[in-house]
Amino acid sequence: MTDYKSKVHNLFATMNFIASEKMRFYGMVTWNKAESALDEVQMPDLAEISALTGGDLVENQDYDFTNMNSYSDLDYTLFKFNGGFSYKLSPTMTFTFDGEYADLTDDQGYVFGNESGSYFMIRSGFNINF
Amino acid sequence: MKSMLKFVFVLVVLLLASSIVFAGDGPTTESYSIWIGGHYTEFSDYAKKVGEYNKGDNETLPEFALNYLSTGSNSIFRFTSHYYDNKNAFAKLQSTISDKMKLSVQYRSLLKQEGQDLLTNIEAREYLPATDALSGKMLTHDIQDPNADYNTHRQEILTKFSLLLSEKNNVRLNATHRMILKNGHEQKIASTHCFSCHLTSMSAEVNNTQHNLEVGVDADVANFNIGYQFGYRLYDPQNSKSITYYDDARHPTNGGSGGEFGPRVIYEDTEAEFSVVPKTEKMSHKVKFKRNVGQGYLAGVIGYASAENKFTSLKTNSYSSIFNYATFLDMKTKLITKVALSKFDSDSIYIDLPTFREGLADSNYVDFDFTRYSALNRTNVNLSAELIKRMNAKTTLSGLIGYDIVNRDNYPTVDDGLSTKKLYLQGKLKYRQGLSMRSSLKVRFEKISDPFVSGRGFFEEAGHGDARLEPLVPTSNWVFYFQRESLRYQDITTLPTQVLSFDWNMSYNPSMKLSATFGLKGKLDKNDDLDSLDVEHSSFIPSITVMYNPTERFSMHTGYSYNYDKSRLPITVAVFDG
Repeated sequence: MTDYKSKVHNLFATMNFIASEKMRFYGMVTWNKAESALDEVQMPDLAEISALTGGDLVENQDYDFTNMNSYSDLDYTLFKFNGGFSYKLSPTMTFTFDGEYADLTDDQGYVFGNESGSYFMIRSGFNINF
Repeated sequence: MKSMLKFVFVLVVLLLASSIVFAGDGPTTESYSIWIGGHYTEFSDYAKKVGEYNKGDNETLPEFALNYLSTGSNSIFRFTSHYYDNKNAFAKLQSTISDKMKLSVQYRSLLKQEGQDLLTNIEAREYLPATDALSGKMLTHDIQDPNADYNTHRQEILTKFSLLLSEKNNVRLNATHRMILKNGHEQKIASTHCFSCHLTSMSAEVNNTQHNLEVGVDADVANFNIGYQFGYRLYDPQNSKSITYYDDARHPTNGGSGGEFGPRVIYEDTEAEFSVVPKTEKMSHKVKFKRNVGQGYLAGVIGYASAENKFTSLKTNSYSSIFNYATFLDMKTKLITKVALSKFDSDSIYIDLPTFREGLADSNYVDFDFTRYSALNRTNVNLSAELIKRMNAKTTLSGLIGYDIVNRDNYPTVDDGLSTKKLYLQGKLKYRQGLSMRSSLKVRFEKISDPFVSGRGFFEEAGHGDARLEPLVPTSNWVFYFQRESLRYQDITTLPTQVLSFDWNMSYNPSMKLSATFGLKGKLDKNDDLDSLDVEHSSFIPSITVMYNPTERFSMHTGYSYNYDKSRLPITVAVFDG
């Protein structure tokens, strides 16, 4: 028997700012940290099992369970930021620009290997109202 | 560019078709907007997790959005669309003509990246301390396509339609169709038997189609609102077959004794299909009614559904009925009662297996053929009553009591299944102080008897000298692995027998510029009715959000939540010793 604990933190902040009739800013930042781990496992005493079975079952046993509970640990941290602005060029046309950056840190690397990575995206365009 | 042009063509066709259909109404207002631009994406290191729903390429692509709104004297027509790239796009068309007709067609497309299980934890080899040498017993893995780029493209078309067929009796036709197409490539893993004891990973094509259709008619007849609904669901995986080679069976250490080990396994020295997903079809019929009775109403739904595995012709039939009665006991007190009864009945199937060790000289043969009776077969009963009382202008109090029964037919033994019973009590308090503060607290307790447990025991006794492990036939002293089934013990489940949960939240608005919400959810459960194990879970989720609007031009919103889960459970360690 052992305990499996999972701890997840989520933090976010968003803002909108209308600087003028023509210009508007917006942004969002999120931070997420997720950890999961087993507590240390109290494994059966091999000497006791050996005595119970006359040594037959554990003839080949030479196991070390010291770090076994950490084999399936998960530890991810994700930081994400996006923001942008729009500027009204005329009553019917608006210029827009926004971007996003995300960075994921995988401190354990399990099943799929180390999944740490980052990306950014920038976008721009014109909005036309008819 | 080709896919973008195709997307634009479909949008234009939809708009033209819609303009013809709704031309007679004569729009009074009309507006549309076009956004044209582009984006650049760049990834570093491992892209599949951080860019799970992105293509994952460093590239510059065109992007556009088109929106259109037309309102007539008694109609609304709205069209929205967004093209991000050839795998991620969205379009929705909505139209309403008074209360006579509503139509909505939506298209969504997205890409999902899939990681590759590296199987690095599947690697072990027996060590012999006496000779300080590695033995021949080993567990290995083989990734045939290490550079595979696994991802799936999901496209969904959702259509909803509602038409008033007759104003007399308010006869209305409702129909919904959802089609999901999924294609791409995914990882599949085959496991081979003891001689070579290894897992083989390979790429497999994904090409699934799913249709969900619901068509129904509602009408008001006399004092009843009655309706009928037909449902149809088809899941058709038109994937390419995944084939693997199953080794010839031999002794795991010395590679010999093929004649002994071969007749012990079902597949040997042959190629066979694995990881087969069946084509399934489901049809359902529902009849519903609702009628005002006194100060309240009585409502009910009676249904029948039949699902079939088209590969094996196995069927599951289900029968269900739900009845609700709600009434006001006085001006401030409401009573809601519910009764539900359902039954599931799946076909049994005869499993015809090769005779164990057939043809060997010692006659230790065993016929493992058996009939598999479905663990799904059961009868469910759900009863509940809720009393809601408005104590005063600020406070509402409610209490709920319920009793659920799951009566299994065949699990763990045929015609003598487990019966799980759950009694639950729930109290809820709502408090409101004008617009400045409101809060609610819900507390629920559940008591469960005989939750679903493993039918065959979780652990296995040592077995040496155990009288239950007798040789199979008198002429032999051989005891086989499969006979150790009789040494298994320990009921095991992760399901609780007692659950206590609570949910508290409060919103506080000291001014028009500032508001805050606080929340705390929690759940504690345990099962101390098992032979020798105690299972416990606990979880807590505190949260806070703050909104601040100091001026008309500036607003901000921030929040934090913490999710803590703890499970006390047995852990099974895979010890490698042949």
